Amino acid sequence: MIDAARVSSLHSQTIYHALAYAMTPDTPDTVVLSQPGSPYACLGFHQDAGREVDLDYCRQHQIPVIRRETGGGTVFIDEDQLFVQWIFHPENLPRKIDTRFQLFVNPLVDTYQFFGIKAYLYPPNDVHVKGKKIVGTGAAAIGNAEVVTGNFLFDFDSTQMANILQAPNAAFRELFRHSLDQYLTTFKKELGTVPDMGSVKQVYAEKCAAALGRILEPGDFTDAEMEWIEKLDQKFRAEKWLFSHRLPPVPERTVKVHAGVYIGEIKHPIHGGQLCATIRTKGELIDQISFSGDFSLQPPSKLPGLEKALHNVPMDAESLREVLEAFFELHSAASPGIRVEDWVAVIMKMKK
Amino acid sequence: MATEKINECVILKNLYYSVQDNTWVRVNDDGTVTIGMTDVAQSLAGPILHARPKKPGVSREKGKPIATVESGKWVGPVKSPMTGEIVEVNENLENNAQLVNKSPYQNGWILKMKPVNLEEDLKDLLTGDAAVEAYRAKIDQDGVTCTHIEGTDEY
Repeated sequence: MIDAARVSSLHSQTIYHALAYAMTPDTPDTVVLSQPGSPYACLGFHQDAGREVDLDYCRQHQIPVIRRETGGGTVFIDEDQLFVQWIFHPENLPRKIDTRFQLFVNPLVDTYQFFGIKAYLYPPNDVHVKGKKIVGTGAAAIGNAEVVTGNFLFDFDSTQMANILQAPNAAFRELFRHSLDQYLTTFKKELGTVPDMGSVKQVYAEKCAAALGRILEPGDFTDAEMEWIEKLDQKFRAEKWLFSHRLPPVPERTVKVHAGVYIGEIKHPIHGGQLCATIRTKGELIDQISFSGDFSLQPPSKLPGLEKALHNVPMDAESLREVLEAFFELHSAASPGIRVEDWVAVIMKMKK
Repeated sequence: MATEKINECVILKNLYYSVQDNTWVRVNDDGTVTIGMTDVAQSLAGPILHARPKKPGVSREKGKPIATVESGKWVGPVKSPMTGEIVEVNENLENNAQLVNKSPYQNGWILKMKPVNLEEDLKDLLTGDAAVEAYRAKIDQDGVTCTHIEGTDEY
């Protein structure tokens, strides 16, 4: 186990990549603990930086944007997080990804529980507390190693997370921030205070050794690993790397909040313009929806009622049609030039 | 087409396999080969969100990455079972990466390559009953059960 302590934002990403690339048959499996020293935005491997991150905001606020080689979405990272990274020989981890995550997540769960938080594995790879996410995980094959990553959340700045994200409008950003508050939790939220990070590391090391059934010996970086860290520092700093994946522009914008909860800004062409919906879905249901765009609803005062009527409605065309037709009939409402099918279509685009 | 199913994992006997890297090779009439991920590989990865092959014109040695795939849970390389030059990539994967899950041996192919030494590289791959037996051992060892989103019966 290497306790890298507090490291730069760049090193909090390059260290575990470097250990993976430097792995040889003689390298021991390694668990790395590190605390990012300053805030940054971290982009998933296949994400388009321009599409996902508000680059202007990050530039103005001197928040670096770093692309990682593991998957998933954009996350805001700062010193209130403790990273846990496993860099293992493939044969020393379960081949089935779900079983692998279970092995990785168990000591994280045990550690939270040690501190009095009723955390549990939310399959396949999240840790939840009363339905809220408290650990995000990722996995990748890098070099000759299999890597699994996760983090302890001591506190979380949901406003800053919402700010770094590319959002089509203020309402979308606010809904995202609100959703993070609603669906993410931390040591601080659960306990009212944060435990000492050193104590968390110590407990985690014990739980991790027990879960693996192996002794964790303290270690340090080899010369070869240091060389890889330097090499990857240069690569990850380069704009060429950050912008290495560009995707064609799309009218829709969707963001995952946590497993099963998504936010989307969806547009659908209508006569004379666009019908827009800002939607939050939970599982197969509409959790929250608001409409905007080039339409008029008569009487206009019925719009909040329409949005409320769609709460908890399944995202299938038939159910939506039924609710919408009933609403328009019951309230003698109308949307001139827009058919029920248009309302259905904009919502169903979110499902796609 | 001769096929074998082991724990719902489809193995086509007429393909060549790198069992270790979970890739398959189909030899085409024009001297190129088509390369893809096996049914076992797509099942282990889970629903694939992104599949990004290297570009045509790129030369790759056997064992080096020719594509990266990302599922909801894992990112990893697809390692080349051959040495050669990439001549075509499956552009449908850009907007529909789950073709790899739905149809790993047909519509979900990854790329085509012009091999430098086809006969030599094929010697290191397994085909027919030998491939089936190797996969039987691997599937048993790893405890894999394959899952298909659709298209199970097309093989």
